[in-house]
Parts: sequence; C-alpha cells; structure tokens
Amino acid sequence: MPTEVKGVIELQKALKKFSPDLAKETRKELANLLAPIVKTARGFIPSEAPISGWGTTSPNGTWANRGWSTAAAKRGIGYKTTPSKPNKSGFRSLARIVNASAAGAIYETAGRKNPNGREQAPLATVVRKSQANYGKQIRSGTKGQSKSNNPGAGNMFIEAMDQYSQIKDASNQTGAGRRTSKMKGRAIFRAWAEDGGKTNAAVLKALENTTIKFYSAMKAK
Amino acid sequence: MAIDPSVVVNIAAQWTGNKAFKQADKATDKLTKNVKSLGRSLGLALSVGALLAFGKASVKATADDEKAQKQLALALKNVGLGRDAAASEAFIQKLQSEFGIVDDELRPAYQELAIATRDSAESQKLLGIALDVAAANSLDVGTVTKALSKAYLGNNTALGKLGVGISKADLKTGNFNDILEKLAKTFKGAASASANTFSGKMARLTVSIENAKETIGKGLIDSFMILTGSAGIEELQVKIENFATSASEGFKKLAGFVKENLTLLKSIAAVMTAMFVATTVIVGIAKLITAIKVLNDTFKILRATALATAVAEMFALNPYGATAMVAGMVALIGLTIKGVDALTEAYNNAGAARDYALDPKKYDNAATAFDKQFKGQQKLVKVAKVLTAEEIKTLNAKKLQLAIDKAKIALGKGEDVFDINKIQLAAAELNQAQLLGKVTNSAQLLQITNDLARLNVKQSILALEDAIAGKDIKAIEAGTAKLNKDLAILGALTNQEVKLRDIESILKDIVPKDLINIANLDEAIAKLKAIGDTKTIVPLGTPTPTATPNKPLTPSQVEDLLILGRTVPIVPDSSGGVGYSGNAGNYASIGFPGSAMGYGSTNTGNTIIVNTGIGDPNAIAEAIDQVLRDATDRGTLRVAV
Repeated sequence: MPTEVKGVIELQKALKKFSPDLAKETRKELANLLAPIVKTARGFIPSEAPISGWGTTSPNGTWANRGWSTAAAKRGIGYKTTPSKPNKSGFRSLARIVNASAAGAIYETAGRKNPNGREQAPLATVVRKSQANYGKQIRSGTKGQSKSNNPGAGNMFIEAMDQYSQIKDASNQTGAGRRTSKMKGRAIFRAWAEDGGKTNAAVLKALENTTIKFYSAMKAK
Repeated sequence: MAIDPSVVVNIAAQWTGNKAFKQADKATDKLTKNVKSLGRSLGLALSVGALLAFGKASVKATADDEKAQKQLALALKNVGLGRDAAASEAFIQKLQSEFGIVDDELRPAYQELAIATRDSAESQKLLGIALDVAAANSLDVGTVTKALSKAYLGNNTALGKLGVGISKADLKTGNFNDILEKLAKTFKGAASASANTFSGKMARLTVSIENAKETIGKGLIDSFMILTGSAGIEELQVKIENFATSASEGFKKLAGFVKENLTLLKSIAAVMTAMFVATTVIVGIAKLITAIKVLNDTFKILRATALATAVAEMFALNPYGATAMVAGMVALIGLTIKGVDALTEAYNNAGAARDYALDPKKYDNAATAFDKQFKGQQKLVKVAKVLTAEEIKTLNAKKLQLAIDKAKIALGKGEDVFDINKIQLAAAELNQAQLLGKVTNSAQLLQITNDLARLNVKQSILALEDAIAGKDIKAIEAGTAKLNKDLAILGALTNQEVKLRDIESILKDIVPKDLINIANLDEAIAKLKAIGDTKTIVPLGTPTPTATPNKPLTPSQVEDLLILGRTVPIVPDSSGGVGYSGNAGNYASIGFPGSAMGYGSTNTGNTIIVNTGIGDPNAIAEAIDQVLRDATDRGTLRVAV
C-alpha cells in the first residue's frame, strides 16, 4: 500500500533551522530503524561471485565497472534519510534503502522482468556495406532480446543468482510510490518484503513523533 | 555513485508538484510580471519623477527598436528577402498588437525562421504556428521557433524536447510537413485564445506602452535634430564633436598658459607686474578674466542641469518646455564656445604683456621693482614693531601698578588686624614655639596658633613692603599672595571654629623650622633613654600595701586580667624585686598619685608634661591629643577631646 506523507520536507527544513538537535536526533532515530533492514539485505549478498567468470572481469569492456565484488556489493547497500530529488510524478522520498553498486544492482534485479532470461535474438544478415560485419549473420535484436548464441545464457545466469537468494516481491508491502513490478529483488527488496511493513510503520511513527516534539518545542519557546 | 531508481526502496514520500503544475506556476508568474510591467508603465504616466525616467527609456527603446529593425532587414537582405523587409516588419507589428508579444521577441524569432526557410510566406506561417505552440505550452516563442527552424532543416531533436505531443516515432519517421500539420491542428487558435485572456490583454497593453515609448523616443531625437538645425543624426554628431574639439583646444591653451608660468605665484606676480608696467595689457587681462568667468559659469550650469539628459526628459513632459530648454542649451553651448574663443583670443592678444611678463630679464626687473615695494613694506613692519615695543613697556608699567595696588589692598587688610608696635617678631615666634611644647589643652593651643599666625602676617607685610620698595614685580606678587594666604589663615583662626586637625595643618606651615635643632633632639633622646632604663625608675612613693604582693602571674592569668580591662602596673616587692600586682583594682584602691584616693596627697591641680621634643607640629599635636585622650579614659579629665 503506497504511503504518502505531507509536510515532512518542510518539517525537516524547519528542524534544521530552528531545532538542529532535534533534526539530528530524528536522523539518528531513522538510521536506527533502517540499519537492521540494511544489515539483513547485506546478508543476502553472496560471499563469492554468483558465477565464476563474473569475479574475474577484465578491466576493459562492458563489464569493466560491473565486475563482482562482495565487499562493494555489500557496501553499496545502505540507507538515506535526506529527501530525494522529485521523480517525474513529483514525489520525493523522505527515507530510502538503496542498492547503489553496479554488481549489487545486477544481483538484485537479474530475472526480475524475465525470470527465465530474455529470448534469444534471431540471426540477421548485415546488409549495410559500411558496417564491419557486412554480409555476416549476427544477433542484433531489440533491448528485450538476448544477443548471446547460448539460448539459455540468461536463464543460467538467473539460476546462479537464485542459488544464493530468491527474488521476493515487495510491491505488496507498504511503502512510498506506486506499486510496480519493479519492486522485486534479491537483497533490499527481499529484506523489505520480509520486514512486513514494520520498519515503514516505525519510520512514519518516528516522523510523527518528531513533528509533535518540534511543535512542543516551538510552543515552549 | 549514481543510484538506479529501480533498486531503491522508498519508505515515505511527499508529493511536491509535477511539471504540469510548474508550468501553471510559470504562467501565473508571467501574468504577474505583465501586470507589474503595466503597473510600472502606468505609474510612469502618473509621477513626475517616473516621467523623466520614461523620457530616457523612450529614447533608449527607440534606439534599440531601430537597431533590431535594421538587424532584421539586414538578415532578410542576406537571405534574399530584402524586398520583403517592410512586409515582414508589418507582419511582426500585426502579431505584436494582436497577440501581445513584443516585437523584441518576435523579430529574432522571425529572423531565425527566415534564415532557415529563406521564404517569407513560410516564415510567417511557421511563426504563426510557433506562437500557438508557445501559448499552449507556456513556452518561450524563441525556443519554439528555434526548434521549428531546426526541424525544418531536418533535426527534430529540439522539437521532441519541447514536449508538445509529437511521438518519437513521428519525429523519427514523419516529415516536417506532417509534423507541422499536426502541431497546427493540435494548437490551433491557442495564441488568439491566450491573447484574449486577462494575462494576454495585459501583455497587449504592455506592448502598446512599449510602442508608445519607441514612438516618443523617435520624436525626441527628431525634435533635437530639428532644433539644432541638423539634417540627420550624423550632422548632429559632427556638431557635438566639433564643440568638444573646440572646447578641448581652448582648455589645452589655457593649460599651456598655466604650465608655462609654472606656479600660481609666479603667474600672479607676472600678471601683477604686467599691470604695473603696461597699461594696455589691462584690457587683455580683463578680457581673459571675463572669458574665464563666462566659461566657468557655463560649465557650472551644464553640470548642474545635466542638460542633454534634461532636454530628453523634458520632451516627454512638455515639448514646448523642451524647445525652450534646447534653445537654452544651444545658447549655453554658444556661450561656452564663445568663452573658449575669448580665452584663446585674450591669450593671443595678451601677447606683449605676456611676453613681457614671461621674459626673464623683464621679469627680473619687475621682480626687482616688486622687491623694492616689498622692502618698503618691511620698513613699515619695523615701525610697527617699534610701536609695539612702546606698547609693551606701557603695558608692563600698568602691570606693575596693578600689582602695587593689589599689594596695598593686602597691606591695608594686614594693618587692620595687626598692631606692629607691640610685638617683637622673632622673640614672639620663639616664645610661642616654646609655649607650644607646654600646651595642656586645646584653648591654649588655639591661642598660640593665633599668635603665630599674626606673627606670620606681620612678616609677610614686611616682606611685601620691601618688595614694593625694590619695585620687583615678581616679589610683590609673591609677597601679596603670601600675605593673603596668611590673612586667610588668621581669619580662619579668629572665627574660633577651628578643629584641632586644622590647627595642626596650619602649625605645620607656620612653626619656624629652625626650632628643630640637634640640642633639642639630644635632650629628648636622653629623656627617652632615662624612661627606658628600669634601674633609674624612681618609686612613686612607698605605699602601704594591704596585702603582700603575690607571686608573678602566669601568662593565662595575665590574659584573664587583660580581658577584664584591668591594668597591671609594675610594682617593686619588699625585697626590691619587680613583681606584678595580683589585682590592679586593689592597687588602685590604695590610690594613684593625684587621685581622689591618692596616697599622701589631695592635690587636684595637674600638670602633664609631654616629652615629645620640639619640631614636627603634627607629632606634637598627636602627642597632645593622645595624652588628653588617655587622661579622659583614666577619668582624670572630663573635657571632651
């Protein structure tokens, strides 16, 4: 169920200006609430590369910055308690759990859209003379199609991930924003799904308490 | 590290408004700006200060508008549309008044489209569509026309970024005409509708005001040219430049003249000399002075009024007044030129005198003449100095007389209070000092002090008489001061309201210092030694003690007795040793010498001798005071001290 709050950004600004101590306290409280989720999510990160070749990525090419690193993947999972930039619908999240590393994001989302891997792109002959592969048959296809000559490549990759952690759907959990199929994953989404909305409720409660404290403090002044 | 939004769990979110609302805000802001702009323009018409600014703005607007018109005409000419320049301008004016968009925005837009299409009809058509698209999407006309011109040339990216409802597929595959048709169909009438809204009407009014500004500004420039008799702006510029050049030349000559004279003093000396020597030069100098005066006055007026600006502003207010101002300005410019010319002429005409003044030989002669005159003045100064010396002498004499008069007054006072024939001064002083050592009460002390003060007054009188006889002003003044001081002391004493402390301070001043001598001191020291030597203490008598003296007291017993306030005199015991009375009260009951219970004597007349030596009056006074206080404490004296 989507959760929308009102006035928290303004509250945070006011806190920062008039009650820095309370602002600090609030951030600390939110951090304490989100840290267990982060810890759980990090626990879903495998201690070695899910597939052997991923851990020995060359420094060049497409996978240069996507090579597996357990430490980086774990380090990439964290939380933020500052408001985000607005999305195209005009919403700004007030607190969030992120999976920031490239390898971690791949591990998180692989198989989310196509649980069995993308379909294989058909072979096509390059007809433009200016192309390097002119006259050859290649698999160009679309974004939704696999270019690999191994028809089960995607499936194999996903299965390798699934050995460590299964994708969990968190779209049925409380949280901000529209419920989408993208709210699925192996690490942070799984942790969020397993939390069952307790942290979400605690965060909202904490924000509400901060509001009450702030108004009390202002009245006292 | 950039975070993929698809791998973020958002926990709580707040809606802060989306793009559509921002566009609405933008439109509202635009409306507000239009209203404010119109308000400002109307305000211009209502306030005098603003009207002046309006005049200036009008001239600027005209200049800017003319520049933009010329730029557009040139651009059209460069793309082969030169003959359509007038028609294009008319089209822009029509759009401006119809849709309330200022020509400053329309011209660059039209120019961009014309460059892209190289066709006037096409440009006008595209501009019309651009206005609709811009009005419908709250976009800037310039941005839309730029995108359209790019799209016309085959680049649809900018058009796609406008977000005007053209799909990527259409942008990728469709040709420009199809896209344009779609845009025209989608946004048809948006510009007209927008122009008929409140905001649009405000914008149209603002445009009218801007146009009015430009028209007024043009009128100002034209009027200025007519009034100055210039056929065009170029001629006006030439006239202004000529004026500047002639003025500059005049200043150069003036500066050269001053520089050649090096210093102002030299210049003035030269001119003065020339005035004495060559009478014909006076005319030239008069001309020069007049010329400088005219120039100075003219520039003062120019500075004060900032005339050029003021004329432009006047046109906005009152064309008739402006005409008069221009006439005034022309007259002033004429005067300035006349002043510079006159200055130059005076400089040139002053030739002979100037050369004479600047010729070193003649200048030296003139300087010699000047020196002679200066020396004569110095003599006068010397005479003045002699006279001043006489005056000083007289003044000194007056001072002396004044001092003597004051002294006489003081002497008169002194004679009133003192009988000179009865007192031998030195003997009296000595006697009084000796008496001081024997004083027993405050009354005696006061009497002695009085006498001493009188003696002092007499001494001062004598000293002053001597000073007057010697005609020594300083001595007279000092003597007078001293006498007055002594009289004041005496006055204080005779009032009888003097406290002992005051007397002490007076005594300090008046007791002769020569009374402190070694013999007295030696005597005092000998007495003190005698007191300090216990073996020489003579028993006060042989009392008949009622009890045998006790054994020496322990320290605690002494302390207890001291707490009880009892004195513990030293008493010799029967064996000749020195012991302590166990009870001073008992001892006192036997009687102190001279007390009511005194042993063997009933004499109540006491004489207290205070052995303090003679010298420091303060010490003497303190000693006396202490003796009297002790006596009072003992109960042997009832006079309050």
